Amino acid sequence: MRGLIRERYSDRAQATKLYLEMQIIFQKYRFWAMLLIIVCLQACVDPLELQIEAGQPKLVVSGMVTDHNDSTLNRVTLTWTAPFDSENKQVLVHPVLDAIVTLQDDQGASMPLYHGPRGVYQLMPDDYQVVQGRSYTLHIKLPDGRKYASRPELLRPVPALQGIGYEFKEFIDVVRNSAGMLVERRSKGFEVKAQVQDPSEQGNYYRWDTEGVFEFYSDVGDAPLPARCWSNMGSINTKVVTNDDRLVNGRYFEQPVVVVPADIPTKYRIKIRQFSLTAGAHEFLRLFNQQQSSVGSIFDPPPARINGNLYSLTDPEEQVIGYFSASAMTEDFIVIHRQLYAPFPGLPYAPPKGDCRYTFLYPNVTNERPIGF
Amino acid sequence: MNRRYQYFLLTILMLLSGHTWAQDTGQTRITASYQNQPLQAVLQDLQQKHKLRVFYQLEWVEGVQITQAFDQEPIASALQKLLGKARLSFVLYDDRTIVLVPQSAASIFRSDTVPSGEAAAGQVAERIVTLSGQVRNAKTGEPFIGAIVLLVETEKGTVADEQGRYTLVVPAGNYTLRVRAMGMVEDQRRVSLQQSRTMHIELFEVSNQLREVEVSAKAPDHNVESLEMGVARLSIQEVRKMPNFLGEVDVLRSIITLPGVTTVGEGASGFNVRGGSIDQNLVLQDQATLFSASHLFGFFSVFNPDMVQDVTLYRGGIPARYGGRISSVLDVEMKEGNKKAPILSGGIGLLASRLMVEAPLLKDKASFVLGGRGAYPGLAMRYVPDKAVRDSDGYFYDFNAKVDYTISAKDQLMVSGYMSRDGFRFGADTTYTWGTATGTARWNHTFNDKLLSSVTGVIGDYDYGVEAETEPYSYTLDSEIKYKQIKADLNFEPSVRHKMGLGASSSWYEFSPGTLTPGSELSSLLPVHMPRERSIEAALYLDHEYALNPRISVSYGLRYSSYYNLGPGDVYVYDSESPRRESTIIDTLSYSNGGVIQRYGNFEPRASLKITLGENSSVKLGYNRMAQYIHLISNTTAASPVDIWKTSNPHLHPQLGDQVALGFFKNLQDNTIELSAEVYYKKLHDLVEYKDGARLLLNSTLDADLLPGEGKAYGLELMMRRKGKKLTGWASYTYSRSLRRVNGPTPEERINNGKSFPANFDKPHDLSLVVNQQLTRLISLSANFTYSTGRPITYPESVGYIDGLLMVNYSDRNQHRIPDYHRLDLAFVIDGTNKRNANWVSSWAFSVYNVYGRKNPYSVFFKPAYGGTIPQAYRLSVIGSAVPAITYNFKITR
Repeated sequence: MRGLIRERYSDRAQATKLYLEMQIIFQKYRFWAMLLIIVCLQACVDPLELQIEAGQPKLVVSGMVTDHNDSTLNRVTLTWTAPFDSENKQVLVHPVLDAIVTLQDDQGASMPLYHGPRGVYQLMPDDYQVVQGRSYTLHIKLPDGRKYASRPELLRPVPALQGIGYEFKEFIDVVRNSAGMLVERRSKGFEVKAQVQDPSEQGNYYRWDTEGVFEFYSDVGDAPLPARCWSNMGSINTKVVTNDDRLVNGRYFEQPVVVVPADIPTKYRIKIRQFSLTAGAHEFLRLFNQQQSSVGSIFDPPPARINGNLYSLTDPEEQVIGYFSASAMTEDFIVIHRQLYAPFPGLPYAPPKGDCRYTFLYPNVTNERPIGF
Repeated sequence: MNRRYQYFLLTILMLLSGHTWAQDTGQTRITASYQNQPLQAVLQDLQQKHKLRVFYQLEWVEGVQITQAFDQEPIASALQKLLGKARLSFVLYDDRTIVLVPQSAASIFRSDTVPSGEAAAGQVAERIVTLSGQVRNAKTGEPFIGAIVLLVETEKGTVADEQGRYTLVVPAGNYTLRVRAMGMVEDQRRVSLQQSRTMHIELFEVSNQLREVEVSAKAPDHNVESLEMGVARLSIQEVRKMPNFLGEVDVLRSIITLPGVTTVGEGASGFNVRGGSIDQNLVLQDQATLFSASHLFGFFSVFNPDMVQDVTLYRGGIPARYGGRISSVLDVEMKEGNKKAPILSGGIGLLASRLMVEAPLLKDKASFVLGGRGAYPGLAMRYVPDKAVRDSDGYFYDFNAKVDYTISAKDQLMVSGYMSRDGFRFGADTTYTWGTATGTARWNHTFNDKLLSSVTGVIGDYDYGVEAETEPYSYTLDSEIKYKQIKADLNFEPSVRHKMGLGASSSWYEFSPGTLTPGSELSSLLPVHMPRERSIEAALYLDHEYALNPRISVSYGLRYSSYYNLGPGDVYVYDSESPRRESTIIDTLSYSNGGVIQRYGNFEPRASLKITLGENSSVKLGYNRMAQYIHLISNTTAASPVDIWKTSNPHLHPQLGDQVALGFFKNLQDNTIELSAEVYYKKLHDLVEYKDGARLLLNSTLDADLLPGEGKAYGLELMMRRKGKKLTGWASYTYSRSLRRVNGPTPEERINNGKSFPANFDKPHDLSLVVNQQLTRLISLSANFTYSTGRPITYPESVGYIDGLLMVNYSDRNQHRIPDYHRLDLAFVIDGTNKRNANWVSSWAFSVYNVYGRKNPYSVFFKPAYGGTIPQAYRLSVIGSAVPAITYNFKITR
């Protein structure tokens, strides 16, 4: 009997002790739980400083020929690769100078490309003889005698743009603030979409590029100076936009192409150029886009080298980077009246002072009114 | 029963005979000569020649050979000479009747006629008897899997099987039988084994659950004495004590601490065994194949820890009864319901909770168990600063059910089912769902002590899909795998030295690799339907385990697998001169429904050899070949649960794996310390590799994007394990390499110019420490430390500009490594009761995962910053800080 009582008593003592232990743990735990919920469970992405030993620089070829006789489109840029260096925050790319670049079609016709500034080689309007349905090959000869060529690219037709649509949207992304904390950044913008009617036959490949021109004003007071100017931003894409008709064959579809920023409440003219591509060019650009979009998550394929359509004639082992494509092109533009959607988040817009042509805030400024404004 | 009845008769017979024995019969004299004849034949000869009637049980005399000559020998002394070998004695009942009795039984009647047993045993082959039975929980009637049954005098032990059954084959004699099981009071009793007998043993629970510090579910010297190598067993009690992530007891996470098992990172589903990819593991839950072993993208495993009875991982020395995958077999057996009383148990955690009910249906004969789990990670995700994460939601639930019915002592029926559903929504748009449903029915039949059979039928279904809602790109994409399987196994143990297995199995597979349906009228997408793939995989196996002598045992087996890819279906014929592409298709072959598109067959030999070196140490050598006919198609670092599976066809050949392994095993300090060292070398053929940038989804010419690869893996695995003490655990170190080579005829069909490169999960150094210290009777502390080399990655070499945008130019595949991985976890378990036979048992588990908050990189990736103009490298870590968790578990017994 006595033994039984003692056993029960010790049980209770044990239980009390345990209860106290639990209390302490609980209080600590409450703290931990908060911490857990706030700090953890989200993937942490940190920049990593990385400098990689550079090997021999490789030739980079980027360019195309189109069915429009326009030397700003029909051109090839030749540069050398730069070492991967995420510490310097700048990339110095050396252009390839004094190369001999020619374009050949499958009928044997040959067109020279002339050396412009910074490694750009252009097809001049006088030499232009490009038509749809033919295949084009690029030949490059460097001053040191190395020779390169592209595989022939067929210039395929492209359907007309049905129109351009846009949608005013709020974009939310997470960025790291100066204190290293992850914060949300809300921004507004105009998502611009190309409206396309895909032809009934299969195997159409597209690429879209943009040109952005916007209006801005300056505060000139009473001075007789130009106060309304336009800036041409060129292509405002930060990623390659490409698609195929694998899943949309023969249908009408809308392709998001770019986001026009909602920063100043003025008109914005957005031009979309729609290019036809060969399957190979599409594949190259698709992988390039994939490389730009990869977030290193568990569902991203491991990074890999993207092979283009250029090869060395002198050394078959030498790797050449880039793609030379032949495209038909069709373009259209719309003007977005951004002032109708103002005010925009962020600081209120204060026009710069002085002659709008010389504010040095924006590139390619002119006070001659472009088409559309 | 039968035997007891015979004894009864015998006793009556003897009691009835009032007069002195051996008076008249004793006058008979025998003249005969026997040369190596069975005792049975000798006795028959005596019966005929001397008109005697001799009564005995056949099994007493089996296997006893006689070489003896008699010349006018009195029958009593002749019989004594004949029967001594069989440890039998005799009773002369009347002048024409002789009753044979086991020696000890005879001693009850006439101790003086018994020749010295030891002397007899010393000279001749002993009579072999079988002791068998079932080990059960006295309170619940549950069979005890893994209970250790030991005959102390012979130091011979065995382990109760899936039904708690055990069989020991020993020379007749008197023994001490000792039965041990985790958390149970040891049972020790004297048994007299003069003939084969059945003995059921009921064990009682240790009053305090936490004293169960023993971790091994096999005989103490099993690792040294058995032929097994590369096999690891974990009991669920062991798994439960390890520190865990977010308080979830997880079978797969525990597996990863074993030598030779790695994973590509946190949150990656599946595991890699000895340099194999994740689809090369056969994952079985109650014999049903699972195609996805993870919930919530690898943060949870599909096995409900309450329901798991036993986990076995075969990473080498895979028995011939398993096949279909080339790297490993993970066999998880679920528990049976309590046959004595209803029990309710469960647990409440931060992310998931579970509940389980078990009860007898027919007391001691039939029972059921039903368990369910549900997770609510959305609750925690709501507090994450990333809006995309906040808008995301996830859930999973799963149910396990099992009914078992002991029809008779010889027949047992088991039906088990599993159902799970997972869903995960990224942002507000895309929802991933996947689910598994399996059913298993098994019938075990015992013909006699030596022959057992089991017939198993399995049906399974794994469906997975993606749904997107944003117009005009709304769609649903559904895929499914259906299979049916039937198999029969026969186990035959004719004697203590031989063990044979024979079996056959057949599986039917139907894969639908993807059906895309536009989400609504507004969607611009076209419906796409990928053709179904059907196949049959049949196999036949035979194996034999043979103990040549006490030092050397061999086991060898052969499995023949036969595979048919069946129609209807179209097969593209590619131009054999150039690399496969959509553009190189030269013809399409159409096959009718049921037509054989392609047939493959493979012999899969398995063999192992064990040589005992001395006291408690042995050397083992093993070889096996495995074939795999179905493949997971995934070129991402970690496979996702919605990756497609594909069955072999004329272009996609079966994968083959050959492995040789050599191991040294030693136990110290009364088998409480186990040491092992194993080396292996593996060759893998026709692995599935991918062209750079291959598109895998809804690709009708997928075969053109796949490349056959060759693989090579080798390694050294060292392990030290301590068990049966207050401080238990293991330390394992592995040095291993896993290399791949893809060297096709054209540059497009080569990776890294045909040179070998490390596989995605090649981690040369891998160290794991798992320790558990029982602090007091109620409190235990455990720790887990892991270190491994960072996995290989492809680094950028240089950058260039394409159309004004930065393009990163990568090196050859997998030529660099991400930083090393290391992590420490701690757990603290408090058991809430100290009472004997408490009806309410509860425990609290506290754990901290990644104690020192290391941001272990999961991957390193490169993305241009500043509007796509400046290169930037980033490091992604899935878990970047210490993660504490708490779980409450309870168990109520009525």
